[in-house]
Amino acid sequence: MLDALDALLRKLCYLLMFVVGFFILLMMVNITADVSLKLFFNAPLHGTSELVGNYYMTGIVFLSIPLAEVENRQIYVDLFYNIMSRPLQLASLALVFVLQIGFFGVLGYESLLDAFEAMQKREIVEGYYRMVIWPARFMLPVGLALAVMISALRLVQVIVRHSAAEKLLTNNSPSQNQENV
Amino acid sequence: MDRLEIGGLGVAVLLVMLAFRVPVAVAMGIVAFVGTWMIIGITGAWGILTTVPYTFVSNWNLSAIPMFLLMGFIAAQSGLTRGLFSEFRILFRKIPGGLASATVLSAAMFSTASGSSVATSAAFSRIAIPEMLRAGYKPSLATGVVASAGTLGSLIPPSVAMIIYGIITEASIAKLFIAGIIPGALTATMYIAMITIRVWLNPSLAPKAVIEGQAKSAWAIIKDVWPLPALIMGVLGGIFLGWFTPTEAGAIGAALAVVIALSRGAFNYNVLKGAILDTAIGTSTLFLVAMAATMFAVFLGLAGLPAAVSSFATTYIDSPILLILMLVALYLVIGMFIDSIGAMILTLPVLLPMLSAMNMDLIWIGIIIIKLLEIGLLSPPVGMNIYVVKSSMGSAVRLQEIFKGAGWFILADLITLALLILFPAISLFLPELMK
Repeated sequence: MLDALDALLRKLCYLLMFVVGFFILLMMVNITADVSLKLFFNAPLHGTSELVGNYYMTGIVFLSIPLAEVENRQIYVDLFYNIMSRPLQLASLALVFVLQIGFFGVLGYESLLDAFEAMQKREIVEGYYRMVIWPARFMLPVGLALAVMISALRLVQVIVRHSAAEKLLTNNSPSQNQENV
Repeated sequence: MDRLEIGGLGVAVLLVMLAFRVPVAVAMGIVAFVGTWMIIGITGAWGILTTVPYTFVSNWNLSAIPMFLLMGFIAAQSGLTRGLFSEFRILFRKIPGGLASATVLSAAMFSTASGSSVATSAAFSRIAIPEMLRAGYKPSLATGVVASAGTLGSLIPPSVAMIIYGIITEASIAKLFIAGIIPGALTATMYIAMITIRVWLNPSLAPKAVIEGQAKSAWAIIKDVWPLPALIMGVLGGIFLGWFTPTEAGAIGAALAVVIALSRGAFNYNVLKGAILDTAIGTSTLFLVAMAATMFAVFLGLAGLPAAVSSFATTYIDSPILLILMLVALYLVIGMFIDSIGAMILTLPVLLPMLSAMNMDLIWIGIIIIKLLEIGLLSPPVGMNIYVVKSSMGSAVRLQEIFKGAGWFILADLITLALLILFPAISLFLPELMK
């Protein structure tokens, strides 16, 4: 049951990556096109900065929070944790997940209220064009809700001493680009 | 409780949470929310939660971060950084301690793409240390050089630390990037000089290594490694000439990295997937920390802590040189405990009024602060890079050995730091030439 839930949440996190990947690439192409057109033809792509701020960046940051969570890649300080006894390490992991549920939960709840408010007002930004931005607001609660669910699952895993919790106890190696020198 | 007491209590609770390995962002966010609630009531606390996240991500300057991360990850995943070390060790084969110096130079180049000190050290732990140990290098030198060379990441542009510093202090990020070039090169030169002199005086530290494929000319080496330096020079050149902003430079750099990778037949779905996942996680974790630190700074401001600290400090610190010495002491200590991004967001709002009151050049101070935070990555008891090297070497090398080896590099760093403080022109010469 726990394993199935773990697999399901993990899959959801990676599904969101198709949206995030799309935003990252689109942002690269959009800004590059804007600069090139500005430099060579003095004809910038209007609306670029509005799109970047309201859609691309919002999506990249908030829809990736669950992935960082599921891969245990948040930034923390290991100094004291490494010298704790095992029971204390387990207790501190439980504390971490309780606090995370609180933080992501409160932030997510607030952002959901904001998103509904923006929808009711049909929120737009006035620039060169009138850009509709309220739909982008819903990306915050989506990412944060998934992060809450993952934290809750981890908390249960720690309480029942599931094998995934054992992995969390030891997993702290940085893993970027190690094979590419 | 008065405001100041709530502020002090907040800082204490934050430190306790960090000790229990609560993620930095979560700890700062919770303390900021509860603390603000206690000072101005629940409506104000909700207000901060509403405004900070959304306005934060739409800051144009911060958009540079995912673009530079993407550029670096595409460069690394498509093999642009591969072979740097094996090429440079041929270049340095005749110089005493050549493998160690080759590590410094290739890490300097690698870090232009990776932008992260920890990632650079982790990568070179796997590649360079085993080779140096095989050649009979003393373990302290082999591990010390990798831990130290990794710190070049935040001083050599493009650098995430500089983007964050620029946003908090409203200093020009473009100028910060350009200002980092000479100090970064100076740091690498000092490292190489120190290695060469030490090994020359005591050859048993690093016996002469047998390098395969010695027949290569310098020209052949340049032909193999040119894409990465060309990419970085294009990006920085455009910023220097005022053609584009750092955010635009990041996007163009990422696009160029894709084009270079395509032209070498090294771009495929796996490269793209890896680069996107790393960019997504890197951006999200950094922004979460930066966002929470911003909320925390608002809370500290409401508590009146920055004003209290700076009015206390200004009664004792009345000259620029004293202020700089205080910065040195402060950041060397903080850099040992907190990562550079969190350290800057927490301290800069407090320091900024003092820096402006004394008319300090914010570009110059920025370079000094980033250099200090890098030294913190190497200092006992908790220099993060030391532990990165230790964790990838396992029981093969003792921790004391790595600290001992890094000690020489800290010495070289302190000389570099003194030069940066005594001669502001080292940092400011290039930015002053910009339009």
